[in-house]
This record gives sequence, C-alpha cells and structure tokens, in this order.
Amino acid sequence: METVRNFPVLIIYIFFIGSFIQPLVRNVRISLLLTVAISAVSSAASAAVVYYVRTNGDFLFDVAPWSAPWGIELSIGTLEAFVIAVICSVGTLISIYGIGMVEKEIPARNIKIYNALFLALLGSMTGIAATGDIFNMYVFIEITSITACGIISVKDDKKSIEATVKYLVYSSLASGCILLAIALLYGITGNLNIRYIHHHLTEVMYLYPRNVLLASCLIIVGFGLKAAMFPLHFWLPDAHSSAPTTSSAVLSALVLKAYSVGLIKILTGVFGIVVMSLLPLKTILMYLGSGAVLIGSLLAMTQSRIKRMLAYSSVVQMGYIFLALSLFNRTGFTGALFQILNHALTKTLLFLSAGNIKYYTGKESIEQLKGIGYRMPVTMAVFSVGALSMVGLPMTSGFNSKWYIGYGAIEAGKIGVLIVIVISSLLNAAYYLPVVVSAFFRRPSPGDEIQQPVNLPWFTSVPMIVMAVLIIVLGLYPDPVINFISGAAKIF
Amino acid sequence: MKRITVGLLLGAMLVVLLSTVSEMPQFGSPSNPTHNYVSSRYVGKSALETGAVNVVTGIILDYRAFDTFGEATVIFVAALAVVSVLARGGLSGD
Amino acid sequence: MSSVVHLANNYIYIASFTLFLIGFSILLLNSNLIKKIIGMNIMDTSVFLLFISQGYIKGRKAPILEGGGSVNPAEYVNPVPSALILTGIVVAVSVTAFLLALTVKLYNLYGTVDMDEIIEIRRSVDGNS
Repeated sequence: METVRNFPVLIIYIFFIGSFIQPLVRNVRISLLLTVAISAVSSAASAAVVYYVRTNGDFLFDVAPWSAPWGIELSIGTLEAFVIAVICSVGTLISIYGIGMVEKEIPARNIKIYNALFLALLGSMTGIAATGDIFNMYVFIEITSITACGIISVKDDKKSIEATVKYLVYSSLASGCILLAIALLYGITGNLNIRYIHHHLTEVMYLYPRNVLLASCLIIVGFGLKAAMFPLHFWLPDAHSSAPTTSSAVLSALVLKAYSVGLIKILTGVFGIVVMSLLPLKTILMYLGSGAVLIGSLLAMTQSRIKRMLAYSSVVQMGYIFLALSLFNRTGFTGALFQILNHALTKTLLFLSAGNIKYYTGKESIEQLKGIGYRMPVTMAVFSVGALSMVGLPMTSGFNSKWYIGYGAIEAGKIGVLIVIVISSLLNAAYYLPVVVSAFFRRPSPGDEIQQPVNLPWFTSVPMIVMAVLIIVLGLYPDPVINFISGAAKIF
Repeated sequence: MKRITVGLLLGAMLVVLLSTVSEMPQFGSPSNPTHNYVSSRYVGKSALETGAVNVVTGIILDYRAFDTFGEATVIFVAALAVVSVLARGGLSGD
Repeated sequence: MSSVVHLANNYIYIASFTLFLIGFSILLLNSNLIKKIIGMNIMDTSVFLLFISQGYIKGRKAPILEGGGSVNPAEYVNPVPSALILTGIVVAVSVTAFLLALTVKLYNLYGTVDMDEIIEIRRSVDGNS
C-alpha cells in the first residue's frame, strides 16, 4: 500500500515521457492510441491515490532524496487527490473522443504535435495540483500556459492564431505578476516550500505588512486572469471558441480549474486564514463572482454561435466557484469542489456534442439548429442532459452543486448570494433551453429536409454517453463524492 | 484624455510599489531573511553531497532537479508549438 | 529622514519596480505586437533583477567553492536566487520564441503586425465577430 505514495509523481512522469516520445511515433493512429493509453493508466493510478488518501489521510512525498526545505516535495491531500482524479479521467474521455475527431479539424502534419502538447498539458496540470513548492508551481504554470496556447494554434487558421496571440500575451502578463509575488515572498521569508513559508510568514507578517499585501494582490490578479475571473475574462470567448473541439473541451473544463486550484492552494497554504481575513477578500470575491454570473449570463444570451455561447457560459460557471469560495465556510468550499467536477463533465459534454453537430451537419449558429434532433438523436439527447445540468434541474449534478453553494450562503448569512444563484439559473435557462427546444420541437428549414439519422462511431458516442450517465448518477447519489471532498475544507 | 488617466494610474501604482520598497530588507545586508539555514546548507554541504564545486550547479542539477526537468519540458513544448505554426512539413509521418 | 536613506540604499529594488511598471505599460498600451513582446521581456527581466539582488551580500564572493577542506558559508553569496533565475530566463525565452513565431505567421496572413489593424481587417471581412 505504501507504493501508492509514489503514484502522484509517477503520473506526472508518464504524462511527460508520453509527450516526449510522441514525435518518434510512426503514424497518426498509434499517436492517438498512445494518448488514450497513457491517460487511462494515469486515471487508474489517480483512483488508487484517491483511495489511499481516503483511508490514510494527507501525505507528503519528497521528489529527490533531500527533504524539504532543501529539496522539492509534493503535498497530496483530499483537494489535490480529487482534482488529479478529475483531470486524468476527463482527459481520458476527451482523448477517446479525439480518436475519431482530431483528424477532422487539425491538419495532418500537426496531429502528433497536438497529442504531445495534450499529454504535456495534462501532466503539468497534475503538477500544479500536486506540488508543495511555489517556484515548482510557477514552472508547471508556464508549461500549462504554453501548451494551452499551443493546442489552440495547431489548427493553423486565421482565427485561431489571432486568438492564441491574445491569450498568450495576457497569460504571460499574469505569469509576470505571479513571479513578482514569488520574489516578494522569498525576500521576506527565505523559503520556497509552502509549509515553511506559512510558518515564517506568521512571524514576519507584522514587520513587512505592505510586502504581504502586495504579494497577495499580485497572486489574486495573476491567477484570476488565468482562471477567467470577472472582469479579467475578456480573452476567453475568442480563445475557447476558435480552438478545435477537443482543445475547447480541455481548456474550458480542466485548465481553468487547475489555475483556480493553484490559487486555492497558495491562498490557504501560504497565506492561511489569518492573512486572508485581513484582506477584504470575502467582499471582493463575492462582487466579482456575482458580476461574472450575472453579466456573463447576459452576454451569453446575445451570442448567435453555439461555441461562443458555451465559452461565455464557462465564465458564468467559474463565477459560481469564486462565489462559493467567498463564503469562507465548509459547505461553500464543498460546493466549489463539487462544481469543479460538475462543470468539468458538463462543459466537456456540451463542447464535444457541439463539435459533432458542426462536423456532421456543418451548422454553427443556434438559429440553424431547428429540427436537428431527428438527424442526430444521440448527440442532441446528451446535449439536453448537459444543458439541463447547467440550468440546475434536480436529478443532475448541476443541481447538487448549486444546492451546496446556496446552502453555504444561507449558513454564512449571505442571502444576496442565494438570490444571485436563483436569478442566474433563470438566465441560464434563457439561453440553453431554446437550443434544446428548437432541436426537437421545431420543423427544419425548407433547405434541409429530414435525412437519415447519423450513425456515430463508437469512440465518438461512448465518451459522451458515459459523461451523460455520470451527470445523472452524480445528481441522484452525490453522497460518496460529497463525503470525500468535505474533508478538504479543514481550515474553515 | 486617455493618456492622462493612464499616466495617473501608473503614478498611483508607482507610489504603491515605492512604499513597499521602503520596508523591504536592506539591500546587501547579511542579516536578510533570505540568508538562513537553507542557503548555508546548500553552500556548506554541496561539495560533499553533490560533488559540485559550483554551488548553483549543485542546486539546479541535484537539490532542485525537478525544476530543471520542468524547464527542459518548457523548451520542448515551445519548440513543438513553434514547429506547428511555422514549418510547412510539420513532423514527418503520415 | 531615515526612510529616505533606506530608500536610497535599496535603489536596486526601486529600479526593478520601475522597470516592471514600464514593461507592464508597454505590454498593455501598444498595439504593435513586436513592442508587446519587448514589453513582456522587460517585465520579466525586471523580476529577475529583483530576485537576484535579494541574494547579494556586500563583500562576499560568488558561490564557487575554492580550496579543499572545510567550507565557511559566511564567505559566499546566497546561491538560491541564481538557480531559480536560470530556470526563469529559459521560460521567458521559450514564451518569446512562441510569440515571435505566431507574429511571423500573422504577418504572412495579414501583412501587418499591428493588432488594431488586424482586428479591423477581420471585422470588415467577417461582418460579425
């Protein structure tokens, strides 16, 4: 059982080694299968880590023979094990979908590069979640930035290159802010390990109050820009809507979450509850989260193309996470973690089905989707499950995450947050339900009569069906997951 | 008008940053918080434990080799991304 | 009065923060892509300057051990920031390379390196953005 302690660093290694050998692979088929194989092995290993953390508690792991603070250590707790499991499993499902669909959108000369960047992205996100050293986290953040921009630009057409430039410029601005914060924290404590900085920070906090304040503001701005916290979300609609389908899914579902988990790790691990209470953090996060939810929903309603609407919807769902974190209590934190899982599954499902619609019928705008439910029954059925989960209908996992966040709002006495959640559910319905309704209940335009239903290959339909089933199962029986992740909110 | 507001904003940020500098530890003083048990072990034991005469080499290749692994990965993925955008033939293969 | 002396002693930190703000404003305010890349490099270099200058101790030698026998850590400068900055420089160079490749591709596609002109061209071609 003790060998499971090695699994997190082994997961990181096999993702990167898989990425390194991708350029040597002989043809495109083997490259795609290698991606699926490595992601599947990592999912199994991450499930073992989750089981280990559930029975034995948090653990620390020294990467080199030197122990902290002279060497680098990984700190794996409930939050980290949960996020690593989400990253590996959703990554596996996306790569299975990619077996069929990657060749349709990306030029053939770039597919091996795409797979190498995809595996490196999954590995670096696991690294951000697992590491216990802030400079190591900065290195993994840079790998995530470059690979996340790389999987948009492999498509190699005008819109995606332009969107990539915008994303990369703002992302490197945020990385500069994060590095400056690391420099300030090192200057006043002399350590780079998260536990040791926390220990020294409680001693020197009153000698250098402005340094600590400036470092925390830079961390929030830097991570907030990368995690699309309102009002720093302006790069997201272009980047996520002009990317290939699987890239949009990975970006919306996993990359934003990895950055917000990094933010949570630094705020709770390095700064701790004492410093966080000194800043007006609760108020700021609550206003920014509410702004994201309300204004993002209004912007999503004005979009005419499906992928842009889904991208604005990602801003809204990330706003829920920041709203839940602003409550500073256990139930809210549990709601935020459950929302991480819920949004990862649901947004992946929605983006993959939008990709299917675009490939098989060529339609991109919501207006053209009349009556398409009879031509693509499986795709539109799973899209409806995902849309209902985003709205928050009972029996879906979206309802459970909103329930926990709302319950946490009541516990903290913030009725305003509860009202924002209810209003936003109505707004979500205003832009998701028209798609579902017009797909099944309206006649198609005279141009395209009812044609034969499209037959999807198994590797396209199986991941989507698995995710739709998981959404419903998590909606009906969330307790195993809730019991596991409620142990993560130890500091509240 | 835009230039004036931007100039004022930058001026405000400069004042904030300078007030931070006024309380930072003194430049070049041996009693800074950064010169602690961590760096003295690196200097003192690096010849014994890592065999490196240059202490910085010992740190990046032995004590913090995981960071160097990440940095090599950064170069690799940047090279792949550049090839995907610029090269006509991409990586050979079908 | 002593705070002014303190500020004057920390002149390197003041220079580093000023360069950070200069790079930050170049990155945000210019629409020319090459200037944005230059601004990003200035910003990153200023953070490296801040990092390294925190490791300096007056009157001590560079951390290359000389002479066998025992080593006295009190004779050498702090080696940790130098090691971190080696990694940081590599990361900054890689991001610059990727951005420059994208700029070359955009120049081939549109004929200009100015972001505002590119958005204008795309808007007039598309109709809706």
